[in-house]
Amino acid sequence: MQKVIIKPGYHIKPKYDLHALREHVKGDHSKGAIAGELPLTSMIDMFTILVIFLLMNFSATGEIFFIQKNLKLPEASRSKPLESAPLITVTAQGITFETQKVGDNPINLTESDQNLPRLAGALRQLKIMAETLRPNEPFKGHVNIQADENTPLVYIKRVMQTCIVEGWNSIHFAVREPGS
Amino acid sequence: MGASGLGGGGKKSVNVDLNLVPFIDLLSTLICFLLITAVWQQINVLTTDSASTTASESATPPDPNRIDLSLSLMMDHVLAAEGEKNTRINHLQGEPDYNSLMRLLNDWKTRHPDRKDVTLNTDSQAPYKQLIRLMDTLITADFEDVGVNTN
Repeated sequence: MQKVIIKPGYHIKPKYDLHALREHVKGDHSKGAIAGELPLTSMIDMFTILVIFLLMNFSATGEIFFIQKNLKLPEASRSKPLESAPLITVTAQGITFETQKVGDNPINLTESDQNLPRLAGALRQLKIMAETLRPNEPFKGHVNIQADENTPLVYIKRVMQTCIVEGWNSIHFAVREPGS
Repeated sequence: MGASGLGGGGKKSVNVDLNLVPFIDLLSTLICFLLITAVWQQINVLTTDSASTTASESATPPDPNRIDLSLSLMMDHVLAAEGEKNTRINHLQGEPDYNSLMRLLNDWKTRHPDRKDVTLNTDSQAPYKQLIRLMDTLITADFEDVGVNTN
């Protein structure tokens, strides 16, 4: 006797039919599983090489602040490692103390532009804080200055002058190693 | 016998698959940490310290026989002053002639082997990189106590 009612089955027939996947989803493993084990050996090899490379490049010092994109540090070969100290950034646009803008760099400096009252105030406040926190230690007065290599020295010198007047006598110029 | 795991018959095989998942987790975490903390550009510093000069000046009176050593960076030349004697070193292609300057500094070092201090005067419009390069040259010539005139 001929069947009249036929149960509908899989009827989508694309050009590239993934019949093996379809059978795997259905649970028919008679034709062999298509999901083989992922070969992990090469991946672990790559990870290990990456870890060794990064560990060899690891350094606990030397990068304690961010350099702005448009700022290229000058090169120096006889430099010393960077120490943690307040950072003053001098760019063509202005002067930044840590993350706070404390002065502008006008194209033509006048006599009144030589003073940097906001920078002086920030340095004074930080010095008072350092002396309050460590009353028994002498104040070291270390400050880092970073500036683009083509910055005219007039902008650097007025920042230095402000630092010295406020008692920050040990001025470190951030430089990069040749070829880095 | 059973250690080989080959042809052991009914014995349970000792070869087991190592669980690599925690190992991969550890490596991934390490890589992320090291990539985030990686130092791509090593930053160093050159130091100028005005405190030592001030302290020494207040402690002892200046020696009248002491010869002042100074360099003045101008836009087109460097003027090296050893007391009253001035030497002009012209720039080469817009940059100071560091080789001639190095020879001069070596002469100074021969005549004043115990001196470490040099005062550096600069033109206000000279680029910052030339100040740094001059300081670097002075330190290379064993004049480590470089004072920068800010006036």
